[in-house]
Amino acid sequence: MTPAWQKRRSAFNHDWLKNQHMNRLDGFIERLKTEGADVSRIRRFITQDFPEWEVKRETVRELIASFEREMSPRTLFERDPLNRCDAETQRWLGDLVHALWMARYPVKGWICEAEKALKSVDCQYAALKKAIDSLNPIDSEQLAPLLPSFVAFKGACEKLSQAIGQFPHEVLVV
Amino acid sequence: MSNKVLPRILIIDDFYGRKPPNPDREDLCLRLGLKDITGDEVGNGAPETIPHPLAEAVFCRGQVETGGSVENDLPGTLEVVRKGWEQWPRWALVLLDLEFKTGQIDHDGKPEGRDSDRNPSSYFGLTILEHVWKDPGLRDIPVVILSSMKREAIERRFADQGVWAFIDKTEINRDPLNSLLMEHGLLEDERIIGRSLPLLKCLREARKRARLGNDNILLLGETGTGKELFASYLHKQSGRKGAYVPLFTSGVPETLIDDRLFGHVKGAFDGAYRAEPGAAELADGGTLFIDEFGEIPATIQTKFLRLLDKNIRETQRIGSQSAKKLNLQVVLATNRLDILSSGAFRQALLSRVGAKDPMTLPPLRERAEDIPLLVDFFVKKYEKAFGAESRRVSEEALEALKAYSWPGNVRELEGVIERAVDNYRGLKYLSKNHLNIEIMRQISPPVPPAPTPSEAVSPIQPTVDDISALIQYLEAFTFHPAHRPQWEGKLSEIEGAYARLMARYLESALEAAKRRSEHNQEVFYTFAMKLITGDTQLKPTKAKRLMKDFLSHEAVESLRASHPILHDAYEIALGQRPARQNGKGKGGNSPPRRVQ
Repeated sequence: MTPAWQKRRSAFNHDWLKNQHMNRLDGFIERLKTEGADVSRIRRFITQDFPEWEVKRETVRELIASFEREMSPRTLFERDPLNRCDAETQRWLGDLVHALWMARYPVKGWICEAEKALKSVDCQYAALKKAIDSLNPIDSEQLAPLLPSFVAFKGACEKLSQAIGQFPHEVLVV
Repeated sequence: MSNKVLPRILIIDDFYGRKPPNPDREDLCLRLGLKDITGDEVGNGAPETIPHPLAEAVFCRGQVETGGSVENDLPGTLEVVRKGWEQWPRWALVLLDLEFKTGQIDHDGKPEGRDSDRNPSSYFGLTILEHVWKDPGLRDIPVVILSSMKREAIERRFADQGVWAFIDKTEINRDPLNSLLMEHGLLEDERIIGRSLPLLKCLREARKRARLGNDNILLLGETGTGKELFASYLHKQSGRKGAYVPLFTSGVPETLIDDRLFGHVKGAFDGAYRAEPGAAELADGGTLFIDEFGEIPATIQTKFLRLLDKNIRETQRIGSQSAKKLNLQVVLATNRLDILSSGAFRQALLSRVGAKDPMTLPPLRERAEDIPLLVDFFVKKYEKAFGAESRRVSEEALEALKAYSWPGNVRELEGVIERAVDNYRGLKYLSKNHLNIEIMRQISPPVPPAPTPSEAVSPIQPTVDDISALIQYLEAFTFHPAHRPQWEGKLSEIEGAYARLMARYLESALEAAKRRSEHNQEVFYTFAMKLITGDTQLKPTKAKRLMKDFLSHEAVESLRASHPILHDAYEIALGQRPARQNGKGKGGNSPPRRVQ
């Protein structure tokens, strides 16, 4: 049974960030570099795809915040066979394996790195959004000076994807 | 890349394979420089135009939607793989995703995904891969995994299935894809005509070898397989900026090879009025090609080995006391396919030229599917050269050319086409009869399909060895009343075909007899008829009469005119020429001429 956290991570990191968002961002950057590229596709990215980050920001924030709780070996006591232990044992043994897990694996480091990557994406997004909002009309010519910022935004997205990807893929036992 | 046809890539991916409108597919195509030719955009407008595309792409989702749910479709996917592999242009590369999401379609229109989809041990991509790998007809397809999933868990498994590479979806763009194509793809070349698998695999190997850039590469190939073209291709693919310098040793006197290869200083020998560099020096920074390197004389082998040693790579002109370091790729060729076992080459030379790991060029008989392309190329080339009419080549002629074994390979084919175009410059249609008869005689004409009602008759193979099958076929042939329109009025055609068959029969006997009795014509003709009849007591008079019967039919007239041996035999049979005795014939009677 795949833990729900893993499913949410896969939906965010694999399905949305890598397959969709970064791919569309790449496509947008390519069009911005190409003379005579389809303006409607450029606008579609700016108006529909790019702002999706504002929704997904919360998803990834929640994902990072819930990792320790949902992927701790303590969760094994919620499932068979360890859920057969009495409540007291579950409590103290659960706390113990959690503490051991935190000590053995760089859990705080993973979380810290992901939060840092998230913050970086968010900052770059905010700056780009502000610049885009001041444009009128939104076309290749107006957007061209923002190209380096979009490339940097993509780099930040890649780092976020890596940071999210380095969380373990299963509940690690201690 | 300079390929005249864009390579075609198959991308099997649940996400990008979804039907348009699919902006994610459009963005992927733009990113990778792919021209989407899937053809599933019906009603959704044409795919975006990609400037200077690198390749054509066909997308396959690998899944079907049924009743609000998405399920993987292995048979359908394998059918797409097979179909595109068996026709031209075949897949140059297949990019395969690993995780395919199945299950109920959610509010976003995407399948929600099942645990089994995410489990590396049951990735659908690997299931596809296993089936491709197990199928001998598909095994040569170059498959590259294109996924954003972690590879560690499945590394071993995909390596076992012959996967060529693993690429992260987020990291690939135009340049890495181009590198992938060059390294693993099956790509045509503009100059080396052909698209058969043996040829495309050989070109791929050449690109890999040339990548090292400073290696010794040994080309093994029968005569006429295009060793020089391949050497030039190796130079082009090496990316070396220096010159490509070929050196042909065949027929060059031993004493000259030293000079041609290494050059000389002024005054090195009589007539050396000025210093001249050799081929090795001229190729510095580029590629030196030595054809028939086995001809390099033993007297200069020490110098030659120093040139071939990658750690030394130096050349020394005749008469010079100093050596010069070179930076080059050396391509060596020979048609001695038994190079390792023949004992004709020194061990030191074999190890330097890389004889244990040669590149073997496929003979034309192993790439018969390239013959129509080659024929087209040579026909156009010689039409232009001779200022001849442009023409089409008949299917029958192509089939006959494909059936021949071509011991002289592409060079022999070129010669045949050159002669055919030259001899029939005004024709707009090149048929089997216009090709060099020496070749066509080795291929008996196919027997036309018979309108026989007898299903019991087995089809015969039209070769000269199957006389019994021919007899059986003729004996079993019937003219069914129901097929009257097909046999009505065909008597003269049937008689003519039979007469020509008999004449060809006689011609073979005459050819065989000629070798035995070169100087006595009466013995010669009588012996030929003895061969046919099996009558060892046959008298010359009867032999002549039989020969006349064989050749007197008007349907044989054209054969007699074009085959001197039959023409002479007919005149002898008619008594228009006396048969020469003991090589001293009269009346201008010539000895049997060899049919060209």
